[in-house]
Amino acid sequence: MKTLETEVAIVGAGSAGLSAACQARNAGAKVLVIDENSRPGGQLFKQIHKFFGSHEHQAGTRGYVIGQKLLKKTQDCGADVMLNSLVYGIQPEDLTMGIIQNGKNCQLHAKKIIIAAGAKENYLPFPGSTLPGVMGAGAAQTMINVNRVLPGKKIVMMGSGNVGLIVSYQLMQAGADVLGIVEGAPKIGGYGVHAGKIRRAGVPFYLGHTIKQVYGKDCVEAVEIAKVDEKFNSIEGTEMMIEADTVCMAVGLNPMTELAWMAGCQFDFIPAFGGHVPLHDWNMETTIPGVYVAGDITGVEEASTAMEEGNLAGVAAAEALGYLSEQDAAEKKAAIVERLNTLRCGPFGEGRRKFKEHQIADMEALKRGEFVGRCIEK
Amino acid sequence: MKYDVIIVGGGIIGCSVAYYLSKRNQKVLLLEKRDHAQGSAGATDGVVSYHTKKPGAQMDLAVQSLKLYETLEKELGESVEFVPDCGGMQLAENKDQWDMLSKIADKQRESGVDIRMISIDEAREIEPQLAPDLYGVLYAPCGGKVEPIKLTMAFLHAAKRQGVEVKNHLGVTEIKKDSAGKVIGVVTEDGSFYEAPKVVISSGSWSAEVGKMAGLDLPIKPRRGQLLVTEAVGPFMHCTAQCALYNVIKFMPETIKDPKILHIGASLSIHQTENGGLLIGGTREWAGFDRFNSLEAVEAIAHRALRFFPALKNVSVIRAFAGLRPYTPDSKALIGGTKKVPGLYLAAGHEGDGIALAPITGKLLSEEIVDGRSSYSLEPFSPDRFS
Repeated sequence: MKTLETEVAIVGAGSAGLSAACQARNAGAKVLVIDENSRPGGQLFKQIHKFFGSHEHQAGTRGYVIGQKLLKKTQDCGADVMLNSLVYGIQPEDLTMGIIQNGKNCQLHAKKIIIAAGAKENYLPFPGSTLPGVMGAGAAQTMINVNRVLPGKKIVMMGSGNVGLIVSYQLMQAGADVLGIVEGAPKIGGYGVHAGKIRRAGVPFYLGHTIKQVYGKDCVEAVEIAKVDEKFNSIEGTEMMIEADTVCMAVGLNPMTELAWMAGCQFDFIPAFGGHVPLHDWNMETTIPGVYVAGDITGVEEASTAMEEGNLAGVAAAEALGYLSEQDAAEKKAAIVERLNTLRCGPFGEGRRKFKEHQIADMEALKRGEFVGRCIEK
Repeated sequence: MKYDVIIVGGGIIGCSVAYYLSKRNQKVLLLEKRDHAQGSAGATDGVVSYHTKKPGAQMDLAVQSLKLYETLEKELGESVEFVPDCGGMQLAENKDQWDMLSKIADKQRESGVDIRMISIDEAREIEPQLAPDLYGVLYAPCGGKVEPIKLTMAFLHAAKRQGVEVKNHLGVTEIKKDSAGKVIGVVTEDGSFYEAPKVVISSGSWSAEVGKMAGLDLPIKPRRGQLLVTEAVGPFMHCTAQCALYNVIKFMPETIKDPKILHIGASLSIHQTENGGLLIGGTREWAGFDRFNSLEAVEAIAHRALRFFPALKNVSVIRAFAGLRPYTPDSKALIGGTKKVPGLYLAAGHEGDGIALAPITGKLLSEEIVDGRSSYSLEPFSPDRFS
């Protein structure tokens, strides 16, 4: 069995992982990024819409262009990226990871590990939800924007958050009909600017509705929706049938925390962040020394926040290895935290900022020996 | 609150003891520090056979336990995925292993069981997936498999129906004795006192810790075992199978010289579960109470599995887990009362035999507690044999 060595090992070549790689490599550390996909870039390359935010967060630039820039930066700085490689295990006591690389087992020993594994889509079970043609909205987005394959012609979208809205619009751009957006809550979840585009295209919103059942023999043929009561149970007699061949589910994401659990990290449960999230400090270091986290694994947010968290983790890992002086690192970190705070403001960001502060406060409590895992809902 | 018997530890052994005691109309309180099947039973495979047992008393016990298994599902009223007589095999790679297994089998047969040595060709007619270059196989046509978590819960449910009171997430902090040194009850984490003239320690790998509360120095240590789980596949194998090293590591470790094998005690134990997934063990390691997996063990187990079942090459492993087995120096469990503390009973230290021996342990101990003596002598398992 092959054994590899590096100083900073990063799991995941997405927004957070590549950002961390650039920071650590530019500071002088030897960096190896591992990703199970055949191409780096994570979710960025399927995001063909323009990003929001401030100039320094590349507002107005499309996601895949940001991805291309980040990838070029990574290549230029000399960080190594190992693709088709699945990290299946992590051994915290000696910071060693087990990796299946192109079907072969190998081990990677590192001085610091940054887990930037991202998030995965939630799934909603209902009769017929296992029929071919029922898929995650993110999967549909990958099909149209990365693989250039249309998942179906007549689509029902479940969920009106930003993912549901953006993917609906992109499916229309790709040539599909979106027959309706079904949303359990009484109002649209995502940004008004995205919703406006959908409304102008004439797509109906079924607010306060849910999918009751999907019908079909070997694939989706029809979708039965119904109104819901305040407990999100469907109301008898309000059913309506939509003839469709595809159902996309945009019902949230949850952090891919498996490796952090395996490493023995301590967690909080924060529903607004997608569920269980590992505790970390402002260096992004977890309760396991030498194991850092960045991006959606720390709580589902956006690509911009993921990149900044990656920057933080990269700087902190390089500092811990002695490649940055305390003062240089402090300056860099302060600038990144300031940018993170700009991202975590406004009606959508304020809540996330509060939860993040809880998460970090719990990490501090743990260091003092006062932590008990908790559920933070408000 | 006053009980006839208090059981400390609600794993597979504790639940079995609770079931058989309540069957005898005892008023029982079962205390569990965490939850049921959170120790060994929830982190092991489901082999219930006697060809993996040390010849002698442990083997006799296994034979009796398997008899109880035959009617257990009916008695407990729910499925425990028991497959009777799926058969068991021990796989020899060379003549040395064959000779050694033959010797063990000769001794095991003294317990009156059908265990024979068969050629690899014969074995492959029973299990076609076996590697053709093996030397031969120890084969026991009897012996089955079970789902240990379901069995634990089935014992628990039946015990509750028979009136056993169960308290979860309530650890014991003290075992109380009177001035004569006789057990009078236990104190729990929340400070409550529960009164009973008899207390059973069935705390698995944690039994030494509980024993200390009564002033006992029990030689039970946690031994870690790691296992892999594969994706569900079609019918792959019927038997449960172990490599020849399994028995050697289990009860003749002194004969092993290879430090690499000794380090994690890697040997193969494999069977297919009802849903089609394969459970592949295992290791026997000293790692304290650590229940993490190690990359070394995961690789070693996968290698062993491929050596004996080459077709597994294309089957995906979906999970790995580890559990602690309560080890004793002579590979025999501690079952019965102790003269040192009147009223205190042990049902612990089964190491890798806890699933197979759970029914008979509960039955015999309940007899000793209620009748003062058991229908089969528990003398070889006496907790006092070490002092």
